[in-house]
Amino acid sequence: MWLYVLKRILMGLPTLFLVAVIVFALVRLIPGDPAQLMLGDLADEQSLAAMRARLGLDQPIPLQFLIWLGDILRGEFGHSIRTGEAVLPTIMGRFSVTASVVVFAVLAAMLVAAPAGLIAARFQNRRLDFGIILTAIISLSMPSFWVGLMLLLLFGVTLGWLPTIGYVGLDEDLGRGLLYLIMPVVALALTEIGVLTRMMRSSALEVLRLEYVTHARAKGLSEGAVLTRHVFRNAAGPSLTLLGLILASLLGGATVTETVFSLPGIGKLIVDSIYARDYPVLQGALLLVASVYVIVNLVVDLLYTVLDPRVRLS
Amino acid sequence: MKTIAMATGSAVAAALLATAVPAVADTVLNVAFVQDIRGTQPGVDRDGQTDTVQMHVVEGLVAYATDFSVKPMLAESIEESEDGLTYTFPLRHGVTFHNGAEMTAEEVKWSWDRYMDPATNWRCRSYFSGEDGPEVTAMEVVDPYTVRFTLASPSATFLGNLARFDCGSTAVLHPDSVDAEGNWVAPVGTGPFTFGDIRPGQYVELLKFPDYVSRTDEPDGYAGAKEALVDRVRFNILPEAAVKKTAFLAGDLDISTIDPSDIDEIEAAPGNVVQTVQTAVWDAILINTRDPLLSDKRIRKAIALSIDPEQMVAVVTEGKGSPNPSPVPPMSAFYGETEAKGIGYDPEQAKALLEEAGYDGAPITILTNRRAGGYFERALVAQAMMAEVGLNAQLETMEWGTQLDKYVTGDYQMQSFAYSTRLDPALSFEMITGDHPRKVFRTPEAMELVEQAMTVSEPAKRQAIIDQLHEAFLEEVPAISVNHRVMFYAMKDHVSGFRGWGAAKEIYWNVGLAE
Repeated sequence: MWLYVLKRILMGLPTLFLVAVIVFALVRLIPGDPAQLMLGDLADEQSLAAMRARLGLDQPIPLQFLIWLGDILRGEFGHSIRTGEAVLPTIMGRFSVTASVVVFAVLAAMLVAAPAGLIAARFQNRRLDFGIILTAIISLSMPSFWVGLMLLLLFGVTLGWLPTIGYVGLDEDLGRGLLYLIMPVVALALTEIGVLTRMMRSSALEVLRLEYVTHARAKGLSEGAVLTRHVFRNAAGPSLTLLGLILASLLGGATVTETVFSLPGIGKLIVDSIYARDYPVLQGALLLVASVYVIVNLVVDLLYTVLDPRVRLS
Repeated sequence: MKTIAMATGSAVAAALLATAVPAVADTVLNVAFVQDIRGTQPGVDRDGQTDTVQMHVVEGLVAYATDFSVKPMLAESIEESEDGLTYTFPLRHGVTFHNGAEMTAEEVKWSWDRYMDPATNWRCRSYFSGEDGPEVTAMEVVDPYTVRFTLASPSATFLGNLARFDCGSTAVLHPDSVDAEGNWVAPVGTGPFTFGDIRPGQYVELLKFPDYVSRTDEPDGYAGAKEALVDRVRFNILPEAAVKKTAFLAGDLDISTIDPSDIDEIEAAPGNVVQTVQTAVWDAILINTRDPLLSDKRIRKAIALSIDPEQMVAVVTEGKGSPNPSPVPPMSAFYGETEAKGIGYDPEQAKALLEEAGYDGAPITILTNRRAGGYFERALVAQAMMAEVGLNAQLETMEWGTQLDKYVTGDYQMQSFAYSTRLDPALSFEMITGDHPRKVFRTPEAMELVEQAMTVSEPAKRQAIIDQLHEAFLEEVPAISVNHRVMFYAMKDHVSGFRGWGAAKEIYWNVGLAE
């Protein structure tokens, strides 16, 4: 298995190199430049030229790319154009914020969606099923920006139970950290619950029709045992793929949620650095997001072998 | 058993409470702020927002007052020679740096030499090096409490340039601000606050400097007496208007800028106060005088005549602002009767002019963006008003960085734009006048007048030049002057002493929190 993991990681490297080239080219296609944005309406020729030279933007673009590649190979990823901070610690710090919200939210969504989907499938076309599906559709149709603001208004403004702004890292202070995580986790989970419930329901429906389920029932197994032991394990596969995709895309930045709850996450960092044309930060962050996809996909593939004994690594 | 469980429960609750409240109960002023600061080095690692924070930490020899005059700050007074070539600054005695050292002429000299070293990358070096204004030929220490600057030729803007925010107020710093190699460490200045925790994406905190030595004259903009009345000021990074408003309503912010459309809602809730502040930020709609269609003065004039400034400003500011036909801000000492005169609103004359110019309905694109500050609303209203007289105006909404690029390269027809505070009337015209593609006012006459306004310092003569510039501006119509922006600050009623001012830069000294 370790050989397989190593092989997959090595296979990821060319992907990441390609991402690096594309990202570098794309961010430079955006009109405008950081020097202009920092000087704003006060920019004149001298100050613009001086600022560009200071930021290394007066170098030819291919040379800038090589310098950046050199920075990556040295594990430095360069420095932010706007704040001068080292890119790698910045993006890792921001990523950990996003990760703590996303992991909790996806876990919470799974814990609700898996049983809800199974139950809806078991009682297909009955009132309970319609109720669950309706709730799921409502949950996934609500824009997360709106959900976030409504939570802020209810728990922050009206009830005054939870803080509306700020963030405390779980490593700094577990109790307060959790307090700041409640609303973003709920807001994010609400949307994902809908998606996952529908997925779980439809794959469970397929499994429920299969003969071994009838067989299990005929054996006299309780309905609960049938659902958890047979239906869930077999229906989990497709949901797992979807879960992986959801996880990867959220880890790449839950930008809207981060913005509403003023969380210093990776999504907000990416958006801010696009606005500021902070090339090094943007490039570093996008490369990180690409790596997250590679890793999450790998983990999902490995999980298949755990959940489904039919899948073997050869 | 039950008692033990309860005891444990309350211990946990107590622990949670204890962690929620800082160990020392200090006073914190929570304010909204739009983005991360670029750094702590005044006049170097900066942008407009960063200046606002840095100006709490450092001070220069001189500073801008609310009427945009330049007043002494670390200098006791300003002594200008008859010929306008030397400026002598006696320094205040007993002013302490954040490291406890006393400020003397030596540190002033050290700071100046550092700024003028090209390696420092000071934003304003060219204003004093002779490239862009008269050269400072000498800066000497006369005695431990006196410094003297000598200029190559008289300048109307020397003091103003020293005080400029984007120059970091030419702050006097202690040499401990840099390390042995001369690399920047942190500002050791003389301001009423020092930098505390800086958390990118979250907040910037300023801490009260307990040994601050204040001036005794009245607080007046960046000049006058200063006192830190709170232990900490936390600038919370909240770019999203809806989030800012919610946080304010929840009581997590003490002071926040708000959109005009939120005024009623905020004022309706108990315990809130809204302060309206007239600033010197100039909102304008630029007309590219290089565009083939718009190079025709008659069409530019028709556009201006089609726009009713009263109505436009009323729409954008919810009736709180007033139009201003001049780039010179209304609070300027140089704003007089002439500056208050506009081109007028006359749709009939506009139609006649279009007829005369043979305008055939060719589209005119107005660039705009969705930033806070009413850019989009102004463009939208202009489009509607222009349509009334038969001008085929179209809106193109883009991201700010892209629009700025088009501004700099002159690649546009019209755009909804804004200029940050210019505190000198010559600069109010200089920002749009010249040959560069980003400048729209490019008649030789205007360029000559701006040149004069930069050097003549005698008030009456200067006023005459500014008046002439305004008249030429109305005649040439390189832009439509909409207004100088009004800003709205929402405050909790336990906040005292906050005063917005024309510079549109928030000041948090002399601001206190009632119990």
